[in-house]
Amino acid sequence: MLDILLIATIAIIIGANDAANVFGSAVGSRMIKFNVAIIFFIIFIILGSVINAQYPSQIYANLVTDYPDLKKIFLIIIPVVIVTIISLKIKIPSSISQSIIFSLIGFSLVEKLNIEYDLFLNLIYVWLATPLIAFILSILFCYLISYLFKILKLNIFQIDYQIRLLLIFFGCIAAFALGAHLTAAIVGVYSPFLSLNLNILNLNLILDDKKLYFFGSLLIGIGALLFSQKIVKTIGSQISNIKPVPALSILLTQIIILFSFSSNYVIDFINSFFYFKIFAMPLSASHITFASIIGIASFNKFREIKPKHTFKIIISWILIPLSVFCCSFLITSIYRLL
Amino acid sequence: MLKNHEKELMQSINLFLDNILKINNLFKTLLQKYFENQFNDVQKVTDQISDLESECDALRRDVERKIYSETLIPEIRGDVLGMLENLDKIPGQIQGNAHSFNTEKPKVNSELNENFLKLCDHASECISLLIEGSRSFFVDKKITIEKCLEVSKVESKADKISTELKKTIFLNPDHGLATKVHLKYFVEIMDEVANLSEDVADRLIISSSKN
Repeated sequence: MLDILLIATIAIIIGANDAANVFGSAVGSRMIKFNVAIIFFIIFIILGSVINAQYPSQIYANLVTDYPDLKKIFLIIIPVVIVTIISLKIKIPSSISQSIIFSLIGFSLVEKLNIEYDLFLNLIYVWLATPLIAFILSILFCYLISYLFKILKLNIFQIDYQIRLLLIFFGCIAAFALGAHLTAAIVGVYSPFLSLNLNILNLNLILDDKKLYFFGSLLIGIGALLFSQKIVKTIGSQISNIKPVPALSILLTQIIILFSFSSNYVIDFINSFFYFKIFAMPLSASHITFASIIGIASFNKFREIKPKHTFKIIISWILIPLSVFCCSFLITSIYRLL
Repeated sequence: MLKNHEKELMQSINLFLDNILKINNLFKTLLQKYFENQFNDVQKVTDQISDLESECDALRRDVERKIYSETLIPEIRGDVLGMLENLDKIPGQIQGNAHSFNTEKPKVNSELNENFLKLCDHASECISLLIEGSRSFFVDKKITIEKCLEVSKVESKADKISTELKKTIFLNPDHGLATKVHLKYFVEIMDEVANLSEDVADRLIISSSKN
């Protein structure tokens, strides 16, 4: 029951924040009504998670070979919940997927479990690389989309209409791609325990992987439905104030990167072309979005970027995983002493 | 959920711009008729100009309302609305000029006719260039900048003609001061059309460069 409560808390927080990143621009400019956007978000996030979340979820079992006992998983989740709530309080986007992995490492060290350090190192390389890739891709897509509109010689109203359609279309695909990563980040840690017989409130529930991802993504959807509108209005989405063409390129960047690390078809396709091999893993959508925004800002020589805030976010990319790691190490150590 | 308003909006905007060009051409006709002392025709043309000006107002309001209510073109909404409102001042000015000619009936010597028509031609050329530039604003902003820069050049020519006209008016010993001031007023209101076009063109250059 505690696990469900913790998972629900994270899922609702994630849903509230990430719906704004996917449909913030379309809703902010009233291209699509909030209720319609949320319905799209929920549908595509569930589809994405049920179809693809199994792949990035495998990382947890691969990272810690002698996987911890189900009854102790809450010790991995609690530090993530604490740090995520603190980061929300100080208005800094945090990556749940990274937090869970670092918490798992902290927990495994105390529990003296076998950790695949090579895989962990590869994860860190990819996490470092994705913001850089997002930075470059967003610039590239921005040029490409602008160029396409230019050669098509459309008038501003036609461009506006095409952008509206594309924002909704890309928003749905981004939600689909995001579904796999977010759900893998939230419930993936439970994925090694499939076909569970759970007894909740005298109800016997058989939980398999599809049900697990479905419930995880549904909770994200509920979070989006209940709180994302408030977040768009009060805090404002990171991309809701961005012009339509850059918003499109940010969504496209998200789609490309998220699919490249969640869909096995895309992964096999990429691996057939390159010397190095990539693999499915949960990625941080907030890091990708942030790096894309910086990429877009480079068009105006970074004039619209607040250096202090940007520096704070980049520092948080190091501090948040470290905090989760320390918190997890500490909580697990205390638990062992009790 | 997502209606494409492109066709109806572009139709309304093109009609608005076409009406300004029609008003522009009608004013030249009005001036010719005036110099030929065909005051009945002057009245008819003035009425036509007034009708087209009212149509322009209605079209502008309709376009503005649609752009705002449907939250279209969020990036350049302000620029487009600014452009339409500034452009709408031109038919208003021409309508005022037409009414002034029709009601005040200034005594224009035949020697001034040619320069008055030249001034009208230059102002008319300014408007034509501005309208071409405004049409391009929706598709290719480079052309808008080119056309609007040409407006300034033609406006300078209009200024020269207007100065020449004023000199001729005030050098005429046969006219009293009242007539001279009256004629000067007509030179100024006709030159104002070119000045207005230049102002709108300048704003359009800024909007085009910004976007």
